[in-house]
Amino acid sequence: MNDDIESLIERWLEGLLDSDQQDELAIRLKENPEQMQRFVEANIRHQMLCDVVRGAQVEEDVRKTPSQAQTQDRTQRSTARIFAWASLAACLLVAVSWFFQAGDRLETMEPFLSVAMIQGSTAGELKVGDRLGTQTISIADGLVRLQFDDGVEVTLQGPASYELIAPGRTRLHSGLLTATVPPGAEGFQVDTPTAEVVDLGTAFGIELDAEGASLVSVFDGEVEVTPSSNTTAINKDKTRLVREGEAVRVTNTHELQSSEFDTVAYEKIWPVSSGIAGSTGAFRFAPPWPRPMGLIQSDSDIFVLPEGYAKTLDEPLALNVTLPGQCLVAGDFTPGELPPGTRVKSFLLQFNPVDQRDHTPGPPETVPGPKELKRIVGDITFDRPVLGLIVRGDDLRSSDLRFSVRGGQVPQKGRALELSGTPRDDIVQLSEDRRTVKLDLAAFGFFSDQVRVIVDQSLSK
Amino acid sequence: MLDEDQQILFTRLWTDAQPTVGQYVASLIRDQWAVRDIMQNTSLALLRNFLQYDPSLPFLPWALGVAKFEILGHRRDTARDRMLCDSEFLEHYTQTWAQVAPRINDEAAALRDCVSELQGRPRAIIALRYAEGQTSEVIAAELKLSAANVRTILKRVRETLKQCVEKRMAMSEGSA
Repeated sequence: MNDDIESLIERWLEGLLDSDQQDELAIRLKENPEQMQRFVEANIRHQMLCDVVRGAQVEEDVRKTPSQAQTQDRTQRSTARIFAWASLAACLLVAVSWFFQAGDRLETMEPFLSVAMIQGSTAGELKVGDRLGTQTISIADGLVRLQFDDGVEVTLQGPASYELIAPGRTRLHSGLLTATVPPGAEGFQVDTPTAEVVDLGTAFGIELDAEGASLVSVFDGEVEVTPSSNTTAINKDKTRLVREGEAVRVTNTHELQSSEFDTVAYEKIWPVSSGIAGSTGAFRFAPPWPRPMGLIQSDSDIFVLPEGYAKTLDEPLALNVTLPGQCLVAGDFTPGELPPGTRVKSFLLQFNPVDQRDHTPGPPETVPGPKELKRIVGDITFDRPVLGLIVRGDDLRSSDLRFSVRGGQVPQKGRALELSGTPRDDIVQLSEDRRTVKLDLAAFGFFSDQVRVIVDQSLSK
Repeated sequence: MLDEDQQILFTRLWTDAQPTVGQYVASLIRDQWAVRDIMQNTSLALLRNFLQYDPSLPFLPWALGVAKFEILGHRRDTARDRMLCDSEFLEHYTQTWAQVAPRINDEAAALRDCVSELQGRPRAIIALRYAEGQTSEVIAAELKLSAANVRTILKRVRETLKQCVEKRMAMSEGSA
């Protein structure tokens, strides 16, 4: 019933209701003040959006005007110079028309993304921090992560060829990629030789195989996959909505088939796609697709669990370690607070040894036996600066609800770092360049160790 | 004739109410030129009849009532004529608008900030839908998407904007 009225209201706002439907809507609204209220509210919001979006368009036009004036000015100046140099009118014509063409090209080349990371790649002239616009990227090997200005992140695994057409519109000619599309950037599109993949707010991967088929796997949310036909027309009636944990294959004859969801092909790409530049020692990566994170246990590894999309803080976030250096005892903490509006991504580093006391009746021990204490060391390096760490139990708990999307909060007990400087305690260190976190941890029984790492994700403007 | 104080009072009240009344008229009349005519006539009618306005009552409901009367005298909008012919519906609609609008209109500044943060395809789609008034079908054809897909994206973008506005409103209340 509610969906029904929402859909009627939406269609009314689009001017799509016929006379009978308008009569039906008017009768319902007159009889039901609550629905009338929703109807009026939808109309007010619609009109406000019209005003605001029109205003934004006008502002944008005004902003563009000075640069056009500048172009004209530069044109006039170059024209004057050409007059001085050449007596041939033809020369002037050629020069001026070239200038305008170059101007047009500049307009379409306006950058809309940055290179965020390159790993083990001979990526030609690409460098981290490069701003890119419309162009095709070809990499022979390794991995390249791209950060679009609207928050979309794409990671390519070479050999690959990827065309940047416009903000929100790209084409994978060959290779493998993953894309993460945060709320507000829905509609991001990747074309392949056989399909169009439109994102509806998700994380997904596309693999092009040697036969030219496209395999689309959805890690989170949903995407719309449409086989492209040999002609330019699109087979809209063949569009399929693919959800989390599903995969489809679009063959080189443009047939859309269900496929087994298998993430093996993405094992290599995903640490980079999550923003991790490298690691040594005990770090292991839990895949970013559906998994029971809290059940991950290992005696020899620290698991890295990325916690959802990058997000903008809506309230201050308390951190326990905000400055480079080593923390042996709680007194070494450098507490601080990130202000609202900071764009961050959270990673949970979890050492959760296999609990050998599962079958022991009675309350858990609080002092480890000599063989039960596990010590584990590793470095992890992020591709953006670490703004701070959360290691205190209370702060881990209070930040769970803000970052932990699905189950990272397990286990709940005894997960804070033990920092009192004794040999069976933990050590955490943030490097001078703020990119690397070093952990030296001890854990036993059901007591695990967790560190929440808050990484800067500010966007280029 | 209005004396100087009355003119000042009228100017102040009408300047505040005009955007809301304009949105009300635009919500019922599709033709932009007709909206302009109706708003001009409404302004004149309000000015001429300002002496009948009771300053102890809120101005907006009175202004909306006058605008409703002008709309009825100017029925050119065929697409929405059915609803406009229903005087009982129009009466309910106008009264509800007067109640709801003051609460929502406070969000305009926050909404402006939130819209300015949108980029890429969502921004292109809201520009086509709200600045140019295109339907989802037309936008879909232009961007080579399905109309259902455009509606889904619009719905999510509105939801994103709503959350953004709520956060900003909460922040500004907190700092106020």
